[in-house]
Amino acid sequence: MKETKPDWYGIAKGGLDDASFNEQMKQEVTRRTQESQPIQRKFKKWAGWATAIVLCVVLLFLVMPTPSNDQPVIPAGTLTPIPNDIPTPLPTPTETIQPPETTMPIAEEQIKLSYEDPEGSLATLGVYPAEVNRIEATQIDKSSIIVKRVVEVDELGKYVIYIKKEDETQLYAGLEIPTDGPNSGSTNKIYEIGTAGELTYLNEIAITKSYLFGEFHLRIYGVCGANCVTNNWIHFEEALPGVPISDFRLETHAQEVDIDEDGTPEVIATVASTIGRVLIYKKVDSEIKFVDLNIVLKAELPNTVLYDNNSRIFKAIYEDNRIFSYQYKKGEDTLILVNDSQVEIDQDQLFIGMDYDGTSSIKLQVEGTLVPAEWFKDPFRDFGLYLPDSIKTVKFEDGYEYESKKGSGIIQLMEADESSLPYLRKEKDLISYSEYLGTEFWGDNQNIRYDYFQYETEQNNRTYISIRYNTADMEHLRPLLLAVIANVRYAKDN
Amino acid sequence: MGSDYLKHIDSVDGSVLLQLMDQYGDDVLKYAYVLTKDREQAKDIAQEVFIKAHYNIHTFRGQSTIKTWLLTITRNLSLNYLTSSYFRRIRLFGTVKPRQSAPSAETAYIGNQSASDIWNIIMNLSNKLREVLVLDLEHGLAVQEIAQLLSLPEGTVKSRLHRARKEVETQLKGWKH
Repeated sequence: MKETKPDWYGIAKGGLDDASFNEQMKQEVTRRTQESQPIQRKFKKWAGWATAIVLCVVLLFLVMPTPSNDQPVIPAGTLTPIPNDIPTPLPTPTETIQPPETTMPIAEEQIKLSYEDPEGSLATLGVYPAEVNRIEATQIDKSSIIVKRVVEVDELGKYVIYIKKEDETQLYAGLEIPTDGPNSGSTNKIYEIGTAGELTYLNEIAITKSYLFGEFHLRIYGVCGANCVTNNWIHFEEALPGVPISDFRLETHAQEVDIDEDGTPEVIATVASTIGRVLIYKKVDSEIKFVDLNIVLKAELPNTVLYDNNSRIFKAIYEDNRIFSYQYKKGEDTLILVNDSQVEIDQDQLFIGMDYDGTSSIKLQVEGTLVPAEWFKDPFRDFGLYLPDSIKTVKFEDGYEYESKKGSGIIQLMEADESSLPYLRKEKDLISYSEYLGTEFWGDNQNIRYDYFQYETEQNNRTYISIRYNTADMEHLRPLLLAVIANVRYAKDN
Repeated sequence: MGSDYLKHIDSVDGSVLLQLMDQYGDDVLKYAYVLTKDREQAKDIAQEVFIKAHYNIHTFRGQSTIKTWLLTITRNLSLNYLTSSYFRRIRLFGTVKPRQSAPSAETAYIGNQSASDIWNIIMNLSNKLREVLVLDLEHGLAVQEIAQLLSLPEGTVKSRLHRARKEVETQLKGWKH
């Protein structure tokens, strides 16, 4: 007997949600599946050519006369059996899905570097953190600013660090204009040089002497976030006495290094985001030019390039864990392969690795800043964390989570025995940590990121720890989350 | 698109994939939403389902309909999402708000209830009851197909279906036993 459905089924059916699998979603699926298909198309193309060649061979055998002394002339119209000496056609390759081939670079002994104009065509291929246009500082009234700090640079003047309005946090740097000579009093005007980070990092600002590209400069360094810095190099010219002139600005970590040992420092810029990126800036024919080592070493996303200033080695790390190390050749714009090593990179330890000893508060090291944190033992786990003010606990039926008050950062502790991890992929920006298990991305734009770690005590007590954040917040939020989990403690019965 | 055709192919080309999405995209999306109660996650999951179908069509043996197969993938991905972070599971229950307030006694006649009233009730059922009911009501799967998808005995499916319907009807009438 056919089951009778309730009357309300007719009312409810189709009324669940008005969302539909729309064209955008279909296109996204198509795009993602096609991204792996060039390899398959290549194979299919090969298969096509192979088939064509085989057919030609077969045809050739068919049209060639077969030598035989005894075979009678076959009258026209009779069926002609296929002679035994015609070889059977070779089987055509079947279309099976081959594992994806990845074109991994082979280590070259030497790589010539070609420096490009930062404002040229290469720059349009990626977002680069440098500006090279000349900016002459303009005068503004001191009364229009709110000075937060004054930095005296030997006898090179007083620099003011200021904000423009009371409720703003953007810092600027300016040069006080003296009334008459360097040791005289200052006027009520300053030269406005440019931005210098965020108010939170007021005390991080540094103004130092520099011999950038072989010419005297002052470098104004500021911090704008957990992994965000600004650099502004200024110089002075006789033609414009006393006027700071900015000719190079870089919004990433930078080291002034005479990498080619020609007596003139270059700038090695390192960009740390989802991958490591290394750029070198140098003056070529009086113009600032740059080279992107990730492009040169074929180590763009998802591969990474790192720079170690102690050894002056550039390391390209590829998806399959191959590592190529290069050094800059003395006196030449050339990279020389140092070794073609397959050895795993030295890994850092993220976790401090201590058991809870009763200390109720500590200071977390977050990107050079000490942040106070209080002990919190997870009631559902044998582990606890030191939580700063900016992280709150959230209680659920079966556990706690730890959420950042700003942004959507979340920390979770999970039983290593009970939890089953999702499919994870190792991301280069965390691969240096030995406890790192991998990362999972979620969201329409893959912008929700979960990084998983395993913490194990010497007594084999384990927990999984994940941190979750929006990739847009990564630079300022992840260092905090990592600092918190790095200080996890085993605390059974505490 | 027939199961017979799909069980013999090793890969899904663009046009077949589009047909699958046209035919079953909404089903997959709605099911993912029922399980996760999160529209944005449901969209992600729905897309992942067809990407997985694209790569795993060779595992489809025609022992179920293609729709059931896709919904099985949907369920697996949704449960992965739910179980990989318990807070999401808990939060979803906490944040699902009925679009309208509970029906008053004056309007507590099943015939007068709107679809949204009914779905409000359904979405607040327990997971086990909600799942079987939605597969029956919204996706029109037979008991056997539901049992296959959920890896449950048919008797259990029937039992849960009965309880789910009874629960909905009880709430629609505006009083509980």
